[in-house]
Amino acid sequence: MNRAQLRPFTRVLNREDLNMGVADTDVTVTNGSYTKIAYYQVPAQQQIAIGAGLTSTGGLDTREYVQITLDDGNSVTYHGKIRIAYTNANETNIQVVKEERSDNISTASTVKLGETQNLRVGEDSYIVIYFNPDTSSVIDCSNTNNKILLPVTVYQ
Amino acid sequence: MPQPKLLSLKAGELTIGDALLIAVSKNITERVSAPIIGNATLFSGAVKTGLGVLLTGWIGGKIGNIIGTGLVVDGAEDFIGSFLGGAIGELVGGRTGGSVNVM
Repeated sequence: MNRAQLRPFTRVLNREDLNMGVADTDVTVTNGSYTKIAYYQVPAQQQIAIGAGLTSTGGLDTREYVQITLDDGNSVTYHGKIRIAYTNANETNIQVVKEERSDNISTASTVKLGETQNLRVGEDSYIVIYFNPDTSSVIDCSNTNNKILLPVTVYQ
Repeated sequence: MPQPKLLSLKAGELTIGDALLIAVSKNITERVSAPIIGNATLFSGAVKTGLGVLLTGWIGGKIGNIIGTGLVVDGAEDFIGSFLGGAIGELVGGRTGGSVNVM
């Protein structure tokens, strides 16, 4: 494979991919601060851009939907602000790509997330989701009502 | 009205004045054609190149040359971009696409 040419394909990361699966450790989130609740480390020989699709000059919209639903176990959504970001491998550099309210992003087919232009993460860097809740809570990862569907574009 | 000296300067056979006109024409035809035939693909390259050759003959004169040259240059750019893709960025700056930052 010629590494000089990277070809993209789109992918959707779910919460299992993002280390927020049913077997993962619960996360305590505190009102007023952003806590990391999910993360994905870029594998070898790949670059990843958050988001997938774009709007063309002709008006064609191929952007894919993103959904992040955090549930309290009683089918009630935890509300707050959600940030989707890149970090480098040592998490010394964080670049937020999107900040959204749970009111929007917890609903399916509501928020579109087009491919982030001009910035990707490479091998060993991370895609991270942070949550700043309106009320301090504990995210129970084993709760099957939690849902993350994060479209990304993988270059390899 | 005589052309300013700067616009009469040549690079090869092409004057700067003509080059500017070709650039304007290329930009216009690229934007107009993109929703119809796309851009930076083999298909768009083929269509633009063929159309450039045809329009040079149909319109004729300097205007035909300007428009035709703009289309052919744009078409050739689409061909090369399609084949080489990120390779040009790798050769020049070591990054794919040339303008993408990677953390």
